[in-house]
Amino acid sequence: MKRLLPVFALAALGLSATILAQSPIKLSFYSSGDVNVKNLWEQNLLPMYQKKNPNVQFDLIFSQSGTGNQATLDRMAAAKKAGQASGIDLLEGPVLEAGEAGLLVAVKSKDIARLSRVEANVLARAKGFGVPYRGSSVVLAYNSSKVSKPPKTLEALLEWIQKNPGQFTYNTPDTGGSGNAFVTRVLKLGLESKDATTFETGYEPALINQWDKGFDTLRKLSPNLYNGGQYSKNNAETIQLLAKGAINMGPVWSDQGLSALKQGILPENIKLMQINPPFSGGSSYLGVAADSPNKLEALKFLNWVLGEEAQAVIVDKMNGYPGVKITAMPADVRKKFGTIAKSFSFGFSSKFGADMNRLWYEKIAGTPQPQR
Amino acid sequence: MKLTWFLEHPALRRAVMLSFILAFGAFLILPLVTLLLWAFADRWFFPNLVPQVWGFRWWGWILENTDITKAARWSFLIAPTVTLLSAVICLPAAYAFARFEFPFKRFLYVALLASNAFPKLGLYIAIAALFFQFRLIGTFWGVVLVQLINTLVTMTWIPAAGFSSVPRELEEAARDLGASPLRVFFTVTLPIAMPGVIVAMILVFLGSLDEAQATLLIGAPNIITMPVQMYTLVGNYPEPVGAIFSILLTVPSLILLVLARKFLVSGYLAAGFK
Amino acid sequence: MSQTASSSPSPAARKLGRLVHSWREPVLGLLLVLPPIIVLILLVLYPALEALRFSLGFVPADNPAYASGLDLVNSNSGSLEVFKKLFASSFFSSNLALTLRVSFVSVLLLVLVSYPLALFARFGRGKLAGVARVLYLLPMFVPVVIATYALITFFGDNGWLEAILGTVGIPYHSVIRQEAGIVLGHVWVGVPFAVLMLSSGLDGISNESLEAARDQGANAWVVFWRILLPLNVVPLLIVMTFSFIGVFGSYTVPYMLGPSAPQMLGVSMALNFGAFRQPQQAVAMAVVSFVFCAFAGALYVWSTTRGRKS
Repeated sequence: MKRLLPVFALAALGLSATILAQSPIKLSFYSSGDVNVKNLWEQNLLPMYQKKNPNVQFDLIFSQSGTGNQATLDRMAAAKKAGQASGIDLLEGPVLEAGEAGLLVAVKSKDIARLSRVEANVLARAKGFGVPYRGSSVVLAYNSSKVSKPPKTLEALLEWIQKNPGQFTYNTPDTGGSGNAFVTRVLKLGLESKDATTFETGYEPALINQWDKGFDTLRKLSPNLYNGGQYSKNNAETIQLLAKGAINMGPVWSDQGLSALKQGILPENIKLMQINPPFSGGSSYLGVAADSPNKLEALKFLNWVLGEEAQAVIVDKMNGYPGVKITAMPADVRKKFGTIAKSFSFGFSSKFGADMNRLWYEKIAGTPQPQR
Repeated sequence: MKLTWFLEHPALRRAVMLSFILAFGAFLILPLVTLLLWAFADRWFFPNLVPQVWGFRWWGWILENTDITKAARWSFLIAPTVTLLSAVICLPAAYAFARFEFPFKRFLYVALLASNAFPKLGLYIAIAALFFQFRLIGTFWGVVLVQLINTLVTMTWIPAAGFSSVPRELEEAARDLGASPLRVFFTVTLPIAMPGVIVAMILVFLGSLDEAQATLLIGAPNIITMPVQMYTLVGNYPEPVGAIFSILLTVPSLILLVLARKFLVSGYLAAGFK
Repeated sequence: MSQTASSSPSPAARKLGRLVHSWREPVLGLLLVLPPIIVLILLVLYPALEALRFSLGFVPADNPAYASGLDLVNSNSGSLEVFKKLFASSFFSSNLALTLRVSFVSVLLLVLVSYPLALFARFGRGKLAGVARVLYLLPMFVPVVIATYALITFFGDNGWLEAILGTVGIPYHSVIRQEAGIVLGHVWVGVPFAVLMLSSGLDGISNESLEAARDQGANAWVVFWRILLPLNVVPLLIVMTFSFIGVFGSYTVPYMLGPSAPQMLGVSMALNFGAFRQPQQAVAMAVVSFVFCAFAGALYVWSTTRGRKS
């Protein structure tokens, strides 16, 4: 044991050495999402930016599928309460929540010249606490060699699922946006139009009973899903099931679906389309922490992300929608997304979203299914 | 009684035993073999029994992936730290439990079990809430501390059994020859008790390498160890990726298995639990 | 077997005791056991108590992980409202039922598989026994996440087993993402500990006593029932209680191998803490699970204490 102690001391030394070895400006960047988002930063945008700004380094902390989002927010809040720096400079993801808790700076066009390229209502959605740097929406993917007449409306889709048992599924709403968007769309069936905005931006637990109709619909659907009621475990699995031919239809993210088609993970006979009313989607936002010591550098980066170079990468490499106005993009980009671009609805606010997850497990997955 | 007539016939008994062992072996090994096949499959579609195309396509991808090397670095930084810290904390206590008489001894000995009796996930959640306040979330030491919990019983009980198996006569003889208590401990007691200490350290090391729940809750997204990385690999990548990573993650453990086999089969593990 | 914390000092110990001053031993002993006890208090008891307080409605305002939850029950004097809500939920009841079912069935199967293996490891002769002795240790060295992944690729939909059975025309329906999948995973993962414990108990039974019984005409069944089982009852109880606690609080195995719902409590707790933003419900579930596991723990303490007296 005595002999081993120096090893321990060395391990501790090595650890502090890595912390001490800092370059001029290091931006600690918290982001979340699926692997394609991670690749976008790690393999494309960040190296591009660093080439132009060699004095800036990024420390990308990525959490899968947003599982760490709440933890990151709680952490920033705890640091603020303790009067200490959170150590976070850039935050991608839940900027509205973080901003409302006073954890982010509001973005203004005097700091970010290119803010004018962004649509005002998209910016307002995050109450100005971050820039929308890319967008994506959930679309319906289907196997065109098996389904000749894909459903064009939500009603038709629900009917199709009932008539074609075992050929559709979606992922559990907590594990990825595509299944989440499907559930959200169906729950919106019962909403009163006067409360629609509250569901998207506020929180009012008393309104939850408006979901009853949607949950009834989902419950009736479940025996007719894949394998008699099996849900996929994340966005990627829905794509894999489509690729294997295990299901013939399912909700997928536009960017992931397009990328999978391009890489040959999805065969060519899989087509993407949007239904009416559309599934939810939206922009992803990038914000700057209020306690960041590198605010100027971070804001500069935000401005760069809205530029043509970065936006082109988002469109080409990730198949994402541009964060800036589509009219600000070249004609071929506008053509690329054709019918699916920018036609999407909005999801529920994060608190309603949490309740939706819980109630979905209680009322849908948790309800015993008839055994096959 | 009649159901067990075959036990009286040596040949039949052997046959029954053999088929039981074979079935059990298949149950244990075939899933691992499947992983092995996947690791060298470039293309393998159901219902083929073996991959259609063999190859190493994904190995390069894995070995170049910085996430995975980063995760390996964290794992091999955290596991030894946890093991050594746990040894420093628990081994003196193990010795005391084996050799000294003091008030509440049995109570304190059994009390360590509380670290096992509380449902793990609930405990981690409670600790996570606490660590938020102390800003230990997402830090190296946060992960080390939370992993320490699982080591208390192993690192105290098993070595304690080892220490108490050392004959006191030997120690006294050494004392009579004029050796200091510390010298007696390091030259007589510790060498004899060593197998128990080694087993405990191996188990703690493996436990740390294997730990995913607490590390995910406390460490993520900053500290990602290999098993936590595995969670994201499964389901987000094609099967070969998970399979290759599994092999890489299992190799260090299997090396330990070969090295430690002697100690593990000799009952040191079980001794601590009584 | 009970040397560990023996309280009856041998003559030798008394002699050693005289070497140390009589007051030094208890003080030194207590000092040495202090570090793990402090860790236990700081990292187990204190957070557990905080969690218990939170589940009773005392919401710590300075703790964002708890205070940012939804539907918090706030009370200054403590209330059982959270637990009432929990037990009123049919989802929780089905989760609890599943957890209990899986725990009992897994422990039962583990014992049924491990006992013959332990007997074989102890009394078996020849190459096969040697193989068995290494074989059962294997899962101990395979990280749980990997084990579950391996089980999925083998037992899962379109897995290798289905392919193998397909060649001889046997239909197969995957057990993965079913209750049975969780049990399967726990048996796979739990075998090494169970066999190690049981076979170490069997090591203590001498060959002579068995031969003596055989000489008197006892058959294998009687030997097992009358000699091996009674002499090995404490290790058996240890295996059962520790496995039960392990399965009950498990996360990885049910998360990877179980259905979306109902869920084992471990999975449900994680979801409530994260995706549902219901930390209070999560913590209340932890308290409920603790009560169940404490029963199992008490059984262990009772059995070892009894074992020490006899």
